[in-house]
Amino acid sequence: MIDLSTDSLRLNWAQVRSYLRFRPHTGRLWWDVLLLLFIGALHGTVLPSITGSLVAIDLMTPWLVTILVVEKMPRAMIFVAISALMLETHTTAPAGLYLCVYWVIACVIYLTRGTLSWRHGLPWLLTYSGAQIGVIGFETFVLAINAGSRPFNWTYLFVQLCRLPLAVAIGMLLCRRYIGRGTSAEDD
Amino acid sequence: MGDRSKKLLGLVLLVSALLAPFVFFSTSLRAWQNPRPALLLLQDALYPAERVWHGLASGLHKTWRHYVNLSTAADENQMLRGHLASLQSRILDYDEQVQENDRLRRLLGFSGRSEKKLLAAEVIGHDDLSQFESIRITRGKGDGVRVGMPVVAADGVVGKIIRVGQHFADVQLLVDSDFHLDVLLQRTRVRGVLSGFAHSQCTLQLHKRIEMRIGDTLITSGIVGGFPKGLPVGRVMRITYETENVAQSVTVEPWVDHRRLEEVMVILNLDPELEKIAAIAGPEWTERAIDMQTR
Repeated sequence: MIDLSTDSLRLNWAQVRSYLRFRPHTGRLWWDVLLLLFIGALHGTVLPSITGSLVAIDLMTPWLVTILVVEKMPRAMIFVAISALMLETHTTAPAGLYLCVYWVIACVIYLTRGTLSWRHGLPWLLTYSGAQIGVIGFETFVLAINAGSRPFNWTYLFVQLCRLPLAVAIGMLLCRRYIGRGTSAEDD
Repeated sequence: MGDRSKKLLGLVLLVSALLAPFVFFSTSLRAWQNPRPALLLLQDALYPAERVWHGLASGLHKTWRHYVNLSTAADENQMLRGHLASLQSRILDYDEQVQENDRLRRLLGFSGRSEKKLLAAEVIGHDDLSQFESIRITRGKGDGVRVGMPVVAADGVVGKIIRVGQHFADVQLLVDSDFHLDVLLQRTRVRGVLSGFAHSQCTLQLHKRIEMRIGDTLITSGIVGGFPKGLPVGRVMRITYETENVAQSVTVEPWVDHRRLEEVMVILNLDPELEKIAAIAGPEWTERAIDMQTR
């Protein structure tokens, strides 16, 4: 028999609500993977058609960085692989570009996260900025190797300069719940 | 985890992070072209979301354009009628010239033009985030689309197929920095290799002595890459000379504006030379040859 009492409904609603929270790390691996896939779909389809070619919003990097700070290493690597492959198989970027850059970011974060206090905003700000600079720098380097100096002009600079603060701002929104409380990774 | 194993893991990660760029740069630096089905699984999983979003966005856009924003429709209609009348008279002239051309080709014993098999596809996505420019179209392996096939629009060359899923394909655009195309200068018949430049432009390096004008049209040479000869590619926008360099650098604006593309055509014919060899050597050889040609 279905229990329709107020307490039971409240309990079920609380469970459903925990799924509706849109954040990088919920603790359930399958749900986090689904959310990452959703972010990938937003990143590859919805955002470019809204923002156009002069404003580039990188949703994937801040989302992944948040997971890398909070999540345990083996699980985090699953997210690294999924997000990198989602980006690489949707663009004409050289195979392995995002796998490589995200792997390096993941290793750096893993090696440094125990020494930083994630209760404060500054480590998050520096991590998001560092990761985004790493991604942009690596992309630019690969582009320079592939095509020389041809693609670099003022438009390119403008797009990248907009991309950095936007990604950091998105990251700072994602990490709000950890500021003041810290993460479980600090105890590792 | 013990302190020792933690330190060991840290060391392994540090070494792997340092080695990762070396491993990456030792590869061919080309996009995934024929990825294994497992790799395409992610894209196949996301494809329905992409279709739904495209349907919603284009539905809203069409409703606005077709039912609300009609203030300029009457003027545009009148202008298009004028264009149509002039084009119809030109078509009559053109038909006559085609017949004459065919007669002359037969007289001279030139080989006939091969009939192009075209497949219409809708554009459902365009990646603007990075400099690696591509679009996604609604035709895939199931429709006979293969890696390396040329993609064109009404105005000219769009790009070539770089990756094929079951129901979709990714097109590397002409303006992608890794795209190269053999072209002819229509007026002077000089050949050159056009390279993508990003930001809707391409570039061409030619010897300084070659005569060239702003506004000259470039067409495909039909020699390599599977593009039929004579497809419009773009027009010369800027010519720059450097005193110490023997080459002149030509900036080309493609005829096709990829940001406004809604429909494209995939040319299903492969390179005619490859097709001849495939008839003898078999389809497996062709797959390998296309793969090598697109690298």
